[in-house]
Amino acid sequence: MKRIFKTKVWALLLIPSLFLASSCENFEEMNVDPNNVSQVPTSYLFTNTMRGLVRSQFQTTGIIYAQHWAETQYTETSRYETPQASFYTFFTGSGDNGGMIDLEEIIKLNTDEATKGFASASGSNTNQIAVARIMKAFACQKMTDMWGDLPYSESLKGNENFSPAYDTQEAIYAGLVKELTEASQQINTSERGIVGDIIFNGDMGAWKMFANSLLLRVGMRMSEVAPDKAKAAVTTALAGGVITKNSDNAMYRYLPDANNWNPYYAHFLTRTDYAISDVLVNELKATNDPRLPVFADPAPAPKDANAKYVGMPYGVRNSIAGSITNDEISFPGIAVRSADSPYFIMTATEVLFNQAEAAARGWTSGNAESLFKAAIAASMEQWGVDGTAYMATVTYDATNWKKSIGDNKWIALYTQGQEAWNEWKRLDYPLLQPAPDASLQRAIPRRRGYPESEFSLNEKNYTAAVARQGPDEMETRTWWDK
Amino acid sequence: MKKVLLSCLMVFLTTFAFAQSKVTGTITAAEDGSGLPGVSVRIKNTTKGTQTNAMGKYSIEAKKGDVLQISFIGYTLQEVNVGNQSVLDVSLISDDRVLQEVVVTALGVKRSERSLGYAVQQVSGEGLAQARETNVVNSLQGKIAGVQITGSPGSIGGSSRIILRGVNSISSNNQPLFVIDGTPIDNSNFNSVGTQRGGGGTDYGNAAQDINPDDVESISVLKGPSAAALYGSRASNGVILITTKKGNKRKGIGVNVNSSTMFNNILIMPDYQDEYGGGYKQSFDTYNGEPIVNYAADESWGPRMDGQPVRQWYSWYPDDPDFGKQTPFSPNPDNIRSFYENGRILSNNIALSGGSDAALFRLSYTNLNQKGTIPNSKMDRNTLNFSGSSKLSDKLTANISANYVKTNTFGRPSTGYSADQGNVVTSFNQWFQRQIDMDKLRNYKTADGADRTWNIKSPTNLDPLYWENPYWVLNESPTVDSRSRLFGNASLSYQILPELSVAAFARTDFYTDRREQRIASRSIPQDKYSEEIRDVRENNFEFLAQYNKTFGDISVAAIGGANIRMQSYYLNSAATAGGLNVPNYFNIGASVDRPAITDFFNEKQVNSVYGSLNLGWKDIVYLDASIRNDVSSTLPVENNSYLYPALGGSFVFTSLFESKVLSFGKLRVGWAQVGSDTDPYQLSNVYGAGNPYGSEPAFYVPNTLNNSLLRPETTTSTEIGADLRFFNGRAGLDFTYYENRTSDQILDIAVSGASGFTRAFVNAGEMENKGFEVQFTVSPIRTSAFNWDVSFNFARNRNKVVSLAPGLENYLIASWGPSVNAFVGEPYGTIIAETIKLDDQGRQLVDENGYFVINRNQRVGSVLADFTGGLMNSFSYKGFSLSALIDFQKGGNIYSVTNRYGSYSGLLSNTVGNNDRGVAQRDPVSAGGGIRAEGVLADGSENQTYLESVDYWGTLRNYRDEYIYDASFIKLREVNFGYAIPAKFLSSTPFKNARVAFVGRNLAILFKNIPNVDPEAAMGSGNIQGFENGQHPSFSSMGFNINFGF
Repeated sequence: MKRIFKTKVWALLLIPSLFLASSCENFEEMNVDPNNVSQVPTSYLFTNTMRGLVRSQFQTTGIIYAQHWAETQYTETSRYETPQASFYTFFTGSGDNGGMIDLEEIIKLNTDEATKGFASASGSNTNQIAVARIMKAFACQKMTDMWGDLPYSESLKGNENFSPAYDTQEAIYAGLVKELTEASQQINTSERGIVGDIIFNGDMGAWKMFANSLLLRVGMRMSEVAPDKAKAAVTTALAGGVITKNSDNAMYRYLPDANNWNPYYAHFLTRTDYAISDVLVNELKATNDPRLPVFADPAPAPKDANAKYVGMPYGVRNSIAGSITNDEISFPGIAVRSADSPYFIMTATEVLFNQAEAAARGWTSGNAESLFKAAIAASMEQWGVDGTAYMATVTYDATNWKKSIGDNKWIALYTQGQEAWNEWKRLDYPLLQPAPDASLQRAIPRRRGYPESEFSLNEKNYTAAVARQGPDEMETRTWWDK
Repeated sequence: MKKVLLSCLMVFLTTFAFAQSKVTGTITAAEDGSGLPGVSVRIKNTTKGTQTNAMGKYSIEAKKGDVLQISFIGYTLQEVNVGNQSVLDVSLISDDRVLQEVVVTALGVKRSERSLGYAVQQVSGEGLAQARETNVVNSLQGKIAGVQITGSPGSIGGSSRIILRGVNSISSNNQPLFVIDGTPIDNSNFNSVGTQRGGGGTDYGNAAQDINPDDVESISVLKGPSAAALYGSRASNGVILITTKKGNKRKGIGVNVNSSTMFNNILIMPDYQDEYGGGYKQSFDTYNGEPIVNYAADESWGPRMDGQPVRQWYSWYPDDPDFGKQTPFSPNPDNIRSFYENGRILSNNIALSGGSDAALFRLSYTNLNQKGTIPNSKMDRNTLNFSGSSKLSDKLTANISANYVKTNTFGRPSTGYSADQGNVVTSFNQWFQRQIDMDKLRNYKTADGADRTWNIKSPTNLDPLYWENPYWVLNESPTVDSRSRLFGNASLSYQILPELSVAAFARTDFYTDRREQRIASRSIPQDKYSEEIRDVRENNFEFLAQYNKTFGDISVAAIGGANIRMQSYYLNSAATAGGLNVPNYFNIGASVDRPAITDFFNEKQVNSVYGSLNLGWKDIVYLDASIRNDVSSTLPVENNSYLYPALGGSFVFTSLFESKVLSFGKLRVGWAQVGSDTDPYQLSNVYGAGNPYGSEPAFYVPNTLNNSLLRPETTTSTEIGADLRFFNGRAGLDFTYYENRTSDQILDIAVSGASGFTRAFVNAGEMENKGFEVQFTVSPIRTSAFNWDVSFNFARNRNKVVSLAPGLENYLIASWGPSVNAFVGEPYGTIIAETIKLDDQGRQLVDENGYFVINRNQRVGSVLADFTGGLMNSFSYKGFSLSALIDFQKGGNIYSVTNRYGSYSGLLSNTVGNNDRGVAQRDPVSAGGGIRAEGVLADGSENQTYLESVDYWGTLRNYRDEYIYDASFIKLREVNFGYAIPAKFLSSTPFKNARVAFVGRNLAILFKNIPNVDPEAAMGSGNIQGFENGQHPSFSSMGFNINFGF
């Protein structure tokens, strides 16, 4: 009897163990994420990364440092208060701010034998890789121009390298030239174009022109520090065919939909932090520039009733700015801050200015003056204004072409703030003055500081970069800005 | 069949006892009728004795005339004469002075403290219900050694974080497991990262606040993992074990009523300046020849408030009695205080209980109603609790316990810097004009429905600029949330043998949590409506066998069990995009553009088997061993099973000798390991979905890189301790030293974004905690009428991050300005910020322009406290009792944005007064005013340059270290003065007992080092701590409590 009892008890104890053993079998299935997908067409990645890379650099730093805009009350950015800014969103993919990791993924999916077949549903493998390389080069130049030395060759390696070393800006520029040259040649217009392309809608010829125009920009940026390399890149670019008319412009079109609004529209919906600066308004007024009514809205109630357009004094302390009411100044024009106002990635205007400069430097046989005037005319057309009267007053000074090109390019690059700031750094024109109330009496910034997180997450490489490049401050000049 | 078995057994047993008769019975606790296991039953003047089993039953051979001595620690000794009866049930009366010696341990087993190899501390539920806290976690503050609790003492249903013995995990949950009557209770906190670091959001609090103090019998705190190995992974941070009240055997139905009323008053307010009003300069601008305030300024660097008539903001509103008039620009020192209201918490509980030999039950209903100190905020919580047990047969008992909790909160105010709706306190303390008359703001809306605010754009444009009328925010855009929750268990237990029982349990905890946020039309941000609905579920199915028997001098208690845990979590959220298509139509359907939608589900399962064995020898030496194996669905199949053991022992050395001084002494030692899994879906990579671009879908590679090679992590802990009692228990000292080490941690490490990812899951990292806990009790006076008892506890923990992933020197916990980090070789929670650079003599360096030299990326402190503790004094005289609890924390740092921007904006009193030249600091430097940065120039000479006051304070904010403070405090946490009406006065009434008490909570901050705010500033109960931003002012609670039963 006792034995029977014991058997029963132990059997009772065993039942749950058996139950447990049998219920583990579906654990692997249970741990499959039902909320996300494990495979998507590469076209979906293209769409998000194109949107993201435009958004990542569509920020206010450049437009304020270039003194196109001034802050209306809290003037810290125009007084160069915060050196640090993060570059992570250029690299990472999350949210609507897709970044270069998505491009890396596209390249991988179009390269691996196992996935390239599936990937080719979104365009030929070669064309997809070429576009991904062009977009990467576009983003990398934006970044290095802003920060200087940066992770480049060791970046985007995921768990193979969580602390990538920094390359010099010189090395990054060499990489950009190589990438853009190769990618432009890699494009095969007889193969299928890419899908999900919200910039050129799969027109591979347009991508080729964009790649060459970008190479032109890259080359020209090296002009002061490495003229030979610059000339070589410029020559290659022009030989490959560049954007020369506004209908070929590379543009990102925002949509009248809250998730795809122009960020300036989103900002002005609830805040009024930015007005057009007195620096730009005064310059445009002095020359009766017809672009002023597009660039700015009239001030609602100017102190001087005759002054239709009033620029916000640039870089004054909060106490001065705070005494100027919103009604007294001009805000950016409705054309540049509507929900669907486009962002210009690369325009014929800029390409023509670069061609004019190449001619002025004697790198090409073109006529610098006529290219210069064609650039301004293209800008008038781009902004939809009649420039006939104005064009008659435009003069080109061949003896000081840097001033002619610098002054006019600065205006033409309105809304492309970072490019305007870059070109000022390179050409030293127009003659901008530092903010009168600059924080710690700083000069106009030449770069942004690395984000604090790089210090905490990538300390060794960060320290090495700072030791090589100079103090992690805004005054430190990067390689091409020497 | 069972009866046959049993009778066979009887025969088997009785063969040894022909000369004597057998006496059986049950030993119960008088207070609740529950069976007491492990009670010693001895025949007086003999060596014969036995112990009760898990159900409190005993059986002993005795003859008529024998005297049974029944003794159990925590209860008064009873002697019972054996007569002719064969059944002798005895109920033991607890001895209050030593009650603490019986503790509830893992799996709800009541054990004598002497048998434990680890520290357990227990508090009774009585006090919790009297001095009412809406979050039961706060009620433990200061009462238990080694427990660090950080509350949010100005909130309504806000967060409390509880940490036992320091922080073990670098990236995941560090809070203990809450268990109620054996059922694990979810204590999630779904506050956003933005909320937790003070960036802005809403603090919805931690889910364990659903526990109702009226239903709590006792709370045991099992601090280390050795106390908790039987609960598995989640117990690696300790266990808060809550036992609820049960019905007891009695005549008729007992009714108990507890009612408490607490009034809440603001305890701490910033020290504002009342000399200068809004603006950026000390003169008024004019408009059409009249002086005007700078309405656009949300700072107070303006003109002196000297009564000069000026057009104030309201004079532009035609509906204002002062429309078109100039009114004196005068101070309103109490403007902010008058905004806050007197809050109150009403709590009423009624409990019915009863029982017979066959069944016991208790049914309780509680209503808690809180009105916040911030206008238009309130919370209402209804709790229904039922517990019952029924003897279906001699051996089979069914138990059920169920709790239903429904909480509705209306108008929960936003927290942090820039919440979507705006945090009104951020405005008051960081961005405001000091002269503003709050009464003028009470009318917050114009006749046509526009926001009437002080921060208008200009006289010609009355649209709000940065800040809405605070009443607009609270009345037009209230947050509404609710949670309905059911938790409890049902079980069947079967007494196979007197020494062997088996039981099966089904346990559940599930709730639906619903949150709605609004931004009213015509607010500064675009109108918006969002809702989040969460469904959180956990079911446990448990099988348990218990065996208790004494063989001569050896007692054996063994447990074997198995458990299946199933958890699931749904989140459905939606938010309108592009505005509402009809003003104030708060519905997702009103979204102008495609609403943002989250549709998320996860689930996991853990299967476990476990066992434990406790051996005792003569009540002198005990040995404890346990082992558990878990299999988790969240780990790779090849690594998903993990085994972890625990060992412990105790030695009551005073049993070996007699001492008048040392009446009791015990040494204990314990060692335990706990394995741990992770969250679901961290093994393989997926793509995330962005908002589509028109009709083009947009997907991305997520920021977090998953890892298919994860392994379980392990916490190992060792503790030794001593429990000493002197002079018959008049004084006692309990000391514990412990070391915890968690290794192979599953971390979502932050990595350089240049890798393409910002976070990645890895198995790496080790963290160590070492510390000690001391509990000292003494009763200086103990007479029949008057008693004075003192209890003091103190704990110190030292934490160190031993290692992280290879090549990684830091784990970034969070940042908002300063960052909170885990650096290898340093304590968890190291704060990095900008400091003022010092020269080699430690003097502050100033540049040639008179500004401090900045030093970036400096280590300036840690969020972890150095030590914590509490001191309780209790007095009783006849029916009167008085107790006062003081608790303290030393160390830990906190970054205060209130101080930073309160100074930047010229709101706080430090921005006025005279400089070191005796001139008002706000006077121009040219007139002798301004402030001189205290320090030396590079050449070592004293800085002589004065800065305008506005520039000095404006720039100082960039040196964030200046706004990082020591979070030490001493608080008068609780006072309770009560009177129990003596039974003799009640005998002629229907009342069986009655007690009234005056109670107070958070009565005073006796000491702190941070100005203007409360150093206790949890914005969530997770690992992101150390940020204060727009803190709602803490309040004190005072009120009374009435308790009676009949």
